[in-house]
Amino acid sequence: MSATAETAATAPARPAGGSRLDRVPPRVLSSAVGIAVLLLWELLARTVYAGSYRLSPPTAVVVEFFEFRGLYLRNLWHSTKTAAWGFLWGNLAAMALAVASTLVPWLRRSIGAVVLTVFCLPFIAIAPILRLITGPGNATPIALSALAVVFTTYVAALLGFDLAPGSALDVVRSYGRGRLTAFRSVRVRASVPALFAGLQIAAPAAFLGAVVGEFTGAHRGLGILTVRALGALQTDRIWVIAVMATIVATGGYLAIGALGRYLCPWSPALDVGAVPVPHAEPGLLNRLAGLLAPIAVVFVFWYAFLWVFGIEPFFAKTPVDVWAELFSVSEAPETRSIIFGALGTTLWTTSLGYVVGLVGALASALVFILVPWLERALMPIAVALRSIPIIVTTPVIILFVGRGLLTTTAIVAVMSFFPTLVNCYTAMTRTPEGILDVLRSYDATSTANVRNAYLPTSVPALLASARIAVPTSLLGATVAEWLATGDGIGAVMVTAFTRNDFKILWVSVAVLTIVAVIGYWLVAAFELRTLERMAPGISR
Amino acid sequence: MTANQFSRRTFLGGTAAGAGLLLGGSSLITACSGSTEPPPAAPLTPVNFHLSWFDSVQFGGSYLADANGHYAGQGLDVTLVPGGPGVSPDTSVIAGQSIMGISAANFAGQAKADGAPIKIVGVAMQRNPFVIASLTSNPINEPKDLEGRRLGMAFNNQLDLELLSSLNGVDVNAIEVIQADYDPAPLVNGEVDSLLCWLVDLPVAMTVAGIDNTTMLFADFGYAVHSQTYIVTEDTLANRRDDVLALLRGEILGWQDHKADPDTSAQVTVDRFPDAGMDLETETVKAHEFVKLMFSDVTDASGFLWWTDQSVADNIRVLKALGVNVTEDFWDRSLLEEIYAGGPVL
Repeated sequence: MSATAETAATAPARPAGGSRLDRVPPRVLSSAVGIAVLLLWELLARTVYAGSYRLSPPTAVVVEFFEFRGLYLRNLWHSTKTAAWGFLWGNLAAMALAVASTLVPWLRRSIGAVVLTVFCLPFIAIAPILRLITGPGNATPIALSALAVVFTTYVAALLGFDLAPGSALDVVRSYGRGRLTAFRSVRVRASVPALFAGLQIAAPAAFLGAVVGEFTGAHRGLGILTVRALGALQTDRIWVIAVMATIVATGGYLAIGALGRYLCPWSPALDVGAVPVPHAEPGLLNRLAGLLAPIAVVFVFWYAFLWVFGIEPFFAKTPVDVWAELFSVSEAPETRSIIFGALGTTLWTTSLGYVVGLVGALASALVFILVPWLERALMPIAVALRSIPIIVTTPVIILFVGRGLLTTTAIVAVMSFFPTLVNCYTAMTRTPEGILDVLRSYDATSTANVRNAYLPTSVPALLASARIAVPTSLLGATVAEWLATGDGIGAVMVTAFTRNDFKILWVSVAVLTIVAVIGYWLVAAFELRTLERMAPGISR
Repeated sequence: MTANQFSRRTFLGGTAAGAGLLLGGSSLITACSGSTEPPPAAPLTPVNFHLSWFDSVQFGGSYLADANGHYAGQGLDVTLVPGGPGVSPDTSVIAGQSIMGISAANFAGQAKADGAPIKIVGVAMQRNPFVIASLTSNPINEPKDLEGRRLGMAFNNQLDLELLSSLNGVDVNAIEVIQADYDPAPLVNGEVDSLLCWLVDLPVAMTVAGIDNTTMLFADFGYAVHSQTYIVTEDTLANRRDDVLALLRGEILGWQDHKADPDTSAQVTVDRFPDAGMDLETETVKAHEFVKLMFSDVTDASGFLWWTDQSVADNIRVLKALGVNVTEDFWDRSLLEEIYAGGPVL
């Protein structure tokens, strides 16, 4: 949503009139809001939360940083370096896969299924398994960081290649040149805006992967420093780390957006959220094959993974083992009740947070479009907040919500709220001026504008965000269950792992991944149907 | 002798001048411990030793063994691999990435019961370091005090709490459990009345911060689970017994140095990991606490890492109550018997 800044400046789709505050430059407004937040933060920390080992005042955070700046900068450098390597490898892999999917269309479904499955794998459970393969060193954090970015970049690159103008492709074809030439001369150029939007999302994701990776054993890094500081009552230190991580993640997000605009100034940046889902092939048999082939590919990968890395049978569980654990061994009923009981808790808290996040985001986007000065003041903050790694947000949410089941809901809501808000708002600003003109000529009220113009234009963005939010919500939920609540399937996985119970671990991973993939496809199917009904031209 | 080994090691490894300085400072202790290992004739054998947590004075003896040249003196080039909340040393040992790892009898026992071919060859903490920590103004002195109170703990300690309760006739359902992990703040802020944690961890942080606290050691109430246990695979025992013996000897020499001078051990730990931001005062308090947990009449009589047959019987009984079924052959004391043939001090 780097587009926000430009669209905000020119925004043709705004209702006329409004507050006097609309004339205040956006920079002044958001600075004012920023200063107000800092003052309130300082005040709360010095009064309500004084001596509570929870909230450090901003002034103390600054003092702490300068006192130990060498320590902080070394750890920040280490984590950033890890994230940068993961970012590089993960994005290269994603782009290679996107190229393969574009050049060899029949591979597309299978590659997509594998990449989606990898994205749905619960991080906290695969970290120890990766550690088993790579051994000591920095390879596990880098690998986790790479895995965290593959899916979104793959989707973004694919969208970019697909967005190549048909006329340009026709020209290449009319010269009798093949797919490869079309790819080189047309698709690569066309992909730049979408690709950079994907890379923007990848920056904070890579950071999260690096920090979770540090939990599997390292000498330094921000994740380790956080755990140490928590145990030692060093509240100022926790807040310094949170602030540093926010600045770096937001900086990465903005820098990549700027680079994208520099490389491709002629086109507004797009968001991955705008990806239309592919049409299903007609015919029951085709549909069935389209569904089964990717599943088969995932299972082949599962076996290949165990075989290639030569993982010991004690750790390595095959699909057959997982099935047996769930349905045929004597402890199966007990395993089922543990896994599905915990899964129920996770799904309940997650879906509540998911719905609250999406509905809240849509409502906020509407408020922003109707009250432009509010958008100018708050949107830059929303863009920044969107890129903060969840591991940093969690302690802050615990501060305000506590450690109950609601914590998971709150964390999931926050995770789905910000991306959806930014996507929906941007879509609303692109409401065709013609529609608004018609409404204006009828002297329509704001309510009518919302109902007839803004809501319908934001539907594709909302649905796309909702689809991407399925796996990220489950990721957020399991991290929250691990760090904060001790409930649900996240807790089952961590307990299984610390007790060396690899059977339960693999069963949980398999079940949760299947749930995430199914959730993703359900939303995708709903999205497809809705788009077909609303605007047959949009979905291809 | 020691200084000699030291420079030899420095030459071999090409260690930087800074590290040499650090090592030089601590060679004093080695001189006191009177070690008599011969200088290595062959090149050092590289091995990984997987610790159970992030770098900490909890492994102070191992850092001293490295700094004072005890590992090198045994012909080993030891890499001390850090642990963390997302990694289990048992897996590293079972997968053959580390020749030895530090675990606890309950975790390693679960792996053993599931068919992992591992054995315990040393026990650094015969007394389990789990405690219930509370504020002195609202103390928990015995398990019964937990009833009707709020307890903050990591969810994967539920079984341990149930066991402590059943051993002491406490109604576990009368304890209100709240998830809290690695963090004393909930207790200090009054969100809970007590915390389940390690004696040498959160209580020390509170003490250093000037908060009066009371601790109730699980080990004093029937919870007999060996902790900081050294584990190896059966395959390693059969084929690389000499390397394991050498590593254990190096460890024992390092921990003898730690016991002789915990303050220096804390200093060496803090200097070794400048990026960890450790506080010397806190680490010094911990270094002394670890001596209390790791050394006892048993180790005075038989040597560091030793355990008694009685404690094995207690462990088997308690582990069974935790749902972990192991037998005596999970413990193998033959290496320590060989090492301590000449007496309880090396």
